[in-house]
Amino acid sequence: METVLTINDLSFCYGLKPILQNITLTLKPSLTVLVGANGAGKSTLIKCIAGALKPKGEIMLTSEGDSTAKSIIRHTSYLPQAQQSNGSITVFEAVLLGLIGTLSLRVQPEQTAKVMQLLEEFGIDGIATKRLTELSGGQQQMVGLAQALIRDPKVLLLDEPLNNLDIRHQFEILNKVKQVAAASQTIILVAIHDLNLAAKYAESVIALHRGTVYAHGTPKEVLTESTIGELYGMRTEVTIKEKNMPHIRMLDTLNGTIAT
Amino acid sequence: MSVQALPRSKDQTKDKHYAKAAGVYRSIVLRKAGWLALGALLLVLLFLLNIAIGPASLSLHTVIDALFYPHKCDSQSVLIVHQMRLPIAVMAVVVGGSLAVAGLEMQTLLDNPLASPFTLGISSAASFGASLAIVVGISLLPHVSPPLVVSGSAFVFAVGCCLVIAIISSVKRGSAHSIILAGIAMVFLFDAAAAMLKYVAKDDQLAAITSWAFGTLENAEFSQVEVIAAILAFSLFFLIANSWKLTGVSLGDDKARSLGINVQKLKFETLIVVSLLTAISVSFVGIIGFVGLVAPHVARKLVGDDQRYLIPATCLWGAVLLSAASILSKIVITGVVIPIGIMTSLIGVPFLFALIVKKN
Repeated sequence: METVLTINDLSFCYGLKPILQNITLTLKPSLTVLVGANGAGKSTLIKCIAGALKPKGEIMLTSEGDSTAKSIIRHTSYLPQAQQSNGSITVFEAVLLGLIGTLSLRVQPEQTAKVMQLLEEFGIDGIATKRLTELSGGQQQMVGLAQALIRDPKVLLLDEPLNNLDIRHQFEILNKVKQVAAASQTIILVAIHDLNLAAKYAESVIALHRGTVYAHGTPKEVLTESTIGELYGMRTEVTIKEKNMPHIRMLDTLNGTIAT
Repeated sequence: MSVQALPRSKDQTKDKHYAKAAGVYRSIVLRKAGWLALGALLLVLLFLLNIAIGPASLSLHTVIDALFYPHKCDSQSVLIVHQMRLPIAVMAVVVGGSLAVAGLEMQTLLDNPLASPFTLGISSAASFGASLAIVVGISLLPHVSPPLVVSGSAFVFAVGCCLVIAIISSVKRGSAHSIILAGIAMVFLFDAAAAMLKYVAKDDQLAAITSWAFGTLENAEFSQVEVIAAILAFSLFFLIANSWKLTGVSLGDDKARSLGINVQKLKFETLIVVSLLTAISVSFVGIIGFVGLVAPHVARKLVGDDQRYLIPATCLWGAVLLSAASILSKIVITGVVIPIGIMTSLIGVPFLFALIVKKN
């Protein structure tokens, strides 16, 4: 049964400052990329869906043919913006922590086996006993992703998971996310800045602009010269390559300054 | 291959995962258990030494005999051990453990490695309470024993300070910055009020205030030890029961909320527990700094951030550090017992510098 995430008329303010206004979206299992300039509301929208913030409006997770809403928090995994971890826990414990809702003081063999299964799949079983502080940024993100996936979430939210990563690690993370999207019925929402990576990996793209949904559709429909100009204040040249994939070449800022 | 699509039905693969996972997890857990055992052994040794060392030096053998086989010992040794040194040694263990655990959870809640039980002004509030009792309280309550008036007043103000901060924490959804700022405001308020009292105090009252603020275990009584031990036991039970959630909070508030943890409620409850632990210790023994800052770092270095092990390890190493400081306070100057609060600060400051330099 396909899961559907429905966001209805969602608004959020930090104090008196409106950050998100009247967001209405329907997301189905696929890899959706969230783009927009700094301050457009990408992280806030992800935090609202993750349950870290309490917005106005409605967020519902339902199965097709079943109108009963499921608990969003129980079925959602969230990877916050990439930061170098100060956590003095091992890779094994960090992934185990993803099961926090079901953990008791004595960890069950099924739970440790599940951790190991995931570590092997991510190719990080060799560093299971290393502490997070000893890992590179790319390895830490892999661990964060494994931690997010161990709960078998129906919704996976990744907030700028590629920050501070080199090109190879950016591709590795997105390849892994793409694999999950292809093989499971998971709704995946990823906020990233690189529009060409968005075009390459996304099945659909949501463009946020000043707290509202400016465009939502396929990469070809959303990543156009005019939309990018409006979103980022950038002059671009967009060409359509194989598989209808747009390729974006940045030319200059519009009028020589970046629009805000 | 995806998470959901793993071939879990294949028994061989499943058995392999179970065996490998059990091996890795056992190696992680055994290492932590080893450090806990070492901490416990060290504590037992220092506890016995703390009883043995003093103006009348006793052998470890005599101490053990006096504790467990008093009929084998001379009455003077039994008297020294049971009446004079045992309350101090046990007080060092329970106060060291309490301040260390309070410091650990303060660092967790505030996401700040330099936080300690006294970051939020609890020591300032207790100092003011004690000063107030010394300057006006004792004369107002002539039928109550003066030490009880001083401890009671220190406790009331320490708890009052905690409640104000807990309420602010609740209003501001557990925001670490708001809690720290409220704590700084409390420090300034109570320090100014205590300074005012010192300004008007007589010479003998001023001497009593200064002496209280040093922090000492010398006046320890079993009745006090029992109260602190009971609160420490309750706190350990509460904190260990919530250890997975507290480990989750150490990854950041947003991440913790998304894992389904009610961060605001957990922080409020933990703040109350931490405040009680600190307030009760401070009110009986005065201000003993740095144990609450240093012990969590030592424990974290050894067993990591998994709070199932970090909480007991911190408690043990806090007790170890204060027992060691208690021993040093008796042997640095022959025939003189230096107040333990001075000793822990002298040991703690170099550590703090090292921490600041290391953390950049």
